[in-house]
Amino acid sequence: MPPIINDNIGWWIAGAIVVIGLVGFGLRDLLRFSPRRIWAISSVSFAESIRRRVLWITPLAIIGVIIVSQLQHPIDEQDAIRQTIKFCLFATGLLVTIVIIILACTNLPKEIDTRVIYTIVTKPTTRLEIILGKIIGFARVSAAILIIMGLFTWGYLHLRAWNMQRYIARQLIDGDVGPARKPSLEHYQQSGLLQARQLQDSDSYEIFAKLPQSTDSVRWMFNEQDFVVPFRLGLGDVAPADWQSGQPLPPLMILAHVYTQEAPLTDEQQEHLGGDLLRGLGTDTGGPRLSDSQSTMTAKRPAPKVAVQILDRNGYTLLAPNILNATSLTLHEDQPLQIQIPAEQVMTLVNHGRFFVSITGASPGWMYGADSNPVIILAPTPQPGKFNQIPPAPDPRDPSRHTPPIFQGRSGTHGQQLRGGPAEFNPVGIYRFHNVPLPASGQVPFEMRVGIERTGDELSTSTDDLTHLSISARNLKTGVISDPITITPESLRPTYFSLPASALGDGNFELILRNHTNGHWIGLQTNSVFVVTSHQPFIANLAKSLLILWLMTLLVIIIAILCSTFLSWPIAVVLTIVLLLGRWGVMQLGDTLGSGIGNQIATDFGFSDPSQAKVVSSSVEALTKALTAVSHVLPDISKFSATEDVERGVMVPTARLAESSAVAFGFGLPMIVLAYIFLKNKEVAP
Amino acid sequence: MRGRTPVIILLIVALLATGVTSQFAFNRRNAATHRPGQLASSDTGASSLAGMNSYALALLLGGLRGPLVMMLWSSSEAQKNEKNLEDFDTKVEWIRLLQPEFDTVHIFQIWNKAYNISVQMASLANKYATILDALDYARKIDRQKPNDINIVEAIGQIYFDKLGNSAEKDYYTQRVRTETQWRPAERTHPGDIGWRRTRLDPILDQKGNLLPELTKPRIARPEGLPADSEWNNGAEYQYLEPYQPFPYGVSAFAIAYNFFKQAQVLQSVGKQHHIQLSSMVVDSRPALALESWARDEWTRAGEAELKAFDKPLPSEPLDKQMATASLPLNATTTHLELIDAALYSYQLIPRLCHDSIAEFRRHLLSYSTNFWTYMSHIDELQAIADLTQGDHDYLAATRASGEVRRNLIQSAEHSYTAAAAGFRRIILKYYVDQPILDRILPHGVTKETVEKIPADQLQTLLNRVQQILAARPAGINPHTEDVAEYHYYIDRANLRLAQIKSVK
Repeated sequence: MPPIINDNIGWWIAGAIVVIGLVGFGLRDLLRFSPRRIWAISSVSFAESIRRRVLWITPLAIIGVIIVSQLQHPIDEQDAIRQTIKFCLFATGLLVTIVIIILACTNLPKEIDTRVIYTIVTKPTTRLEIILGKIIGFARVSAAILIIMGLFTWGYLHLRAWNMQRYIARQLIDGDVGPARKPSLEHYQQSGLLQARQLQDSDSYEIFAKLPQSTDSVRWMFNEQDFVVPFRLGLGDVAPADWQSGQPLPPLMILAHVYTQEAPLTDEQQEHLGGDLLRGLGTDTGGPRLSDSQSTMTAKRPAPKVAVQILDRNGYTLLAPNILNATSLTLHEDQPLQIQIPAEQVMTLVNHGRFFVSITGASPGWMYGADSNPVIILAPTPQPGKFNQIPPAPDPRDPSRHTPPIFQGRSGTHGQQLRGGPAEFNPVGIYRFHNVPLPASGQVPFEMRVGIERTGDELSTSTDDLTHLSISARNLKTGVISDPITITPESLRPTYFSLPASALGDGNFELILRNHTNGHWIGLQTNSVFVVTSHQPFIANLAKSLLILWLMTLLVIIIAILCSTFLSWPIAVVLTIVLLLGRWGVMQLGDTLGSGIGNQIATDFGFSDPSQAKVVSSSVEALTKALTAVSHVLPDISKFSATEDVERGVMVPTARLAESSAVAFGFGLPMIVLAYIFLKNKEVAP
Repeated sequence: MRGRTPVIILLIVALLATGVTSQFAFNRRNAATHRPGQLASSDTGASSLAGMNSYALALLLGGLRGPLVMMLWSSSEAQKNEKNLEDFDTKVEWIRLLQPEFDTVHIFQIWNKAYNISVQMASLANKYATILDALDYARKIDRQKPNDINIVEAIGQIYFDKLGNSAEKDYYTQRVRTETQWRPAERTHPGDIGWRRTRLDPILDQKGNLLPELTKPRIARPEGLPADSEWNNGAEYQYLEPYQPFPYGVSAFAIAYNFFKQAQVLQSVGKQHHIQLSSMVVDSRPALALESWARDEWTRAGEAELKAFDKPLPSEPLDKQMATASLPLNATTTHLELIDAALYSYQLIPRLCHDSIAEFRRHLLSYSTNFWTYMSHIDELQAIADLTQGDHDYLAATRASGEVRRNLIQSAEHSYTAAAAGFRRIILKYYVDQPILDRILPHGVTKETVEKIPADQLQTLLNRVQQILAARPAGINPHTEDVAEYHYYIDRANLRLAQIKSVK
């Protein structure tokens, strides 16, 4: 099938159901369509629901939220608000969903049982109007519940936030806070606890041995760091012209050019490498040069060595150094590294799409450098001694050039590690931001969340040993670097800081991070630092969140009414829940449903007869495929994520609303048509 | 409406009946586990109220309590492993409320917070705050279930193992000392929204005495109890009362001793059994905590002495002993407050040593498994008591005059002589192999009876040991590192004795 159909199969099916259903079965009803009658039916449903005292449940939910909020044990005031938002919205979502499922599933079957439906169907109303009227009626009920719960949420959160602000002010006045906590409290006092911020994360994050300048042709890293270069191999790049499927592909060659420079040595390293003879010799010797085998240092300093491996797109090892015979390659002057990719591994790389060649500095006492194009892959051609040069993958930001090497820190528990200590011995982290909309003046707030690891031998102290991280900004247009500020982040907790807008220029800037605390490693990821680009009133964010919940309830109502057109209400409730949660459930099973589950189950059952095992295995595989296929047709309720952004004080993006609407209406409209068809063909009155 | 009235009445009756039967079951369990009753109803108020949340929550949730707890357990443990601590404390709090009767749950969560969660913090202040959170958790359970050996022991373990003996102990013990001292009432309280403990509550008044409410007896002594029997009177810091005042704050080990002693008495007198620890372990803890308290005071005394005489603080603990060993008796200083601090600790140490010895002896009467190990502790404590008594008298003599000074010097000389002999006997008794002992000990004296050897002959015997070891082909003493510490102490005593001799 053409891609336009294949890629949007769900939409095509939905459209077909709507068109065929309405034109083929309900054209006459469609032509008699009356919004007034629909509104009248919806008003009956709404009034009946109110008569059933469904709104009385909301005070119970409110009391529940208040009780649960008292039992929370937050980290700080902001966390207390975050948890309260979570409780409020969770209770709201749960309440409205349960109420609506019960109302919508029971309505039609009960009306049919009690013959109340006679009063409607005997009037000049169409079945389409009945279905739509009931959907709108229950949607009004859910909106009423959401408005009540929304008002409560808004009021209760403001009350708590007001109380906490007073408490924060009291602590700050009393001076009853430690140095690590004080900046956070000051931030809460200034920014408030109920926020809706727009955050933008960085485009890239790299760690270097020294701060790269715009004029530098070579950038540097310490040992234990690596730089990676992305590639994408097509079959046409590596297969000879006469190659046929099933034949082995020829081996490839990685050609890598790595510069070296003696690194400054700490006292500890000098001791490790052989004593005081090295003291003072490990200074920067000027511009980049290739490895110097004639150096007088070689007697004491180990030879510069690197390890080479290939990583997949997620950074996991695809071809380990031992497979490439590249666990410890000595760098020689003017000689590029040559690493062969074995023939049997080439197809793995072709099938994998994007992958990375990673070069890790292995010997201490050296800095390892790379220019803008340090690695290429060579593929043999039919002509002996001739090779196809395969360059790195294009740069996503500028497809006209190849992606330059990406410098990474050592991988730790919390991300790439930024080692702490004096600047000359330790790396610098660079976060790069592009096209950030910034105010012309004033302070620009940032939020950071890092993980910190530390060595045990640093703990023997009677004073608190905070992690000191200095941050400065480099304007990419002018190259001017701002004065550094120092913050003391705590592991896995948000830290707030701000920089003058004047230092960030036109929104294209770098944040330069240095960890100054010996024995501390700061784990950083690309999304560890955010810049706050704008604010929105909290109530607007809450309204968006409630709107998403309402769109979800709309879908729930449609499914529930569809089920109730052909099932008794208890079965309709069950089927509604299954349809709603089916896709989510299959997603939770995740990789378990991947290929091989059949063999695994057959093995677990311990079949001794191969034919029996085969039958079970293939049956399970077929069922798994069917389950996965069916789940793709079901609605994706993860698109109705309404709480995460609000509780974190982040603006709910408009795209989220669009996604929720797409699921609600994309799945809901065909379901409405199906419900109409079922009801039309159902005998509900004599 | 009329039809619903009986249902409502029935529900209210059922609710009341649930409360009554719950209380009945609680009392029966207490009786079965020999948990003592309370003195007066006013004293039980806290306990009943503390249990209200759990009771109300369990009642509200009904049959959903089990699934909810299961979900909370798996979720909180998964979060811990992923190092994502958002909502973690709230989940643990809910588990506490939903499973209030399970001691294994509480022991695990106290340990979980104090160890697994605290290490995930980077700053020492936040690590410490997390340990305090574990202590708060334990205190909440203690209020709910007073005199529960499992919880009382867990509190003691946090003070002893985590605050007193972990890698970060220098920071923690200093903070415990400081924060237990009196300070003005704070304007923020545990009940405030967003409040989180960052420091301990003070337990001392301005004079360094324990706050009256912490030493007030709350449990009546049973009439049938023998007069010499120990008894927990329900006062939170009952076992610290004899040691007050604490002008420099309370040691983490002192607090650990207080709770370990309560647990030991709950075991020996209350006949409770710890759910995880053997009775021998519970019984031995008070002695070990007293010993650690004595050593903690010893460290503080040494540091105060060094600072008082403007000596640099050596990084090696044993070097601290030697840095002031040659201090002359006519040494003067302007840092009198530091001398006071050192004298306070030096005065307390012998008492703690003797109390620890008494605890070890009491323990060994019931449990002889670790007889030789604890005998070595006893001998060492006696020698430390003598050495520090000498240090006290010597230091006091530098400030005294006349007859008082002469008496102090005489007392110091006596104590140092006894200390040097004590440490020499320890070396002979525990760190010389039997074949060598057979060669050097006088006729009729064995390893167990080295006390019979006169003090003036001990050094000669040790010299002979050295000669024998030196003559060995390998020339290595396997106990060199073990005895190095004692040689430092002997050297300190000898140097002080030399100073005393020089002024006589």
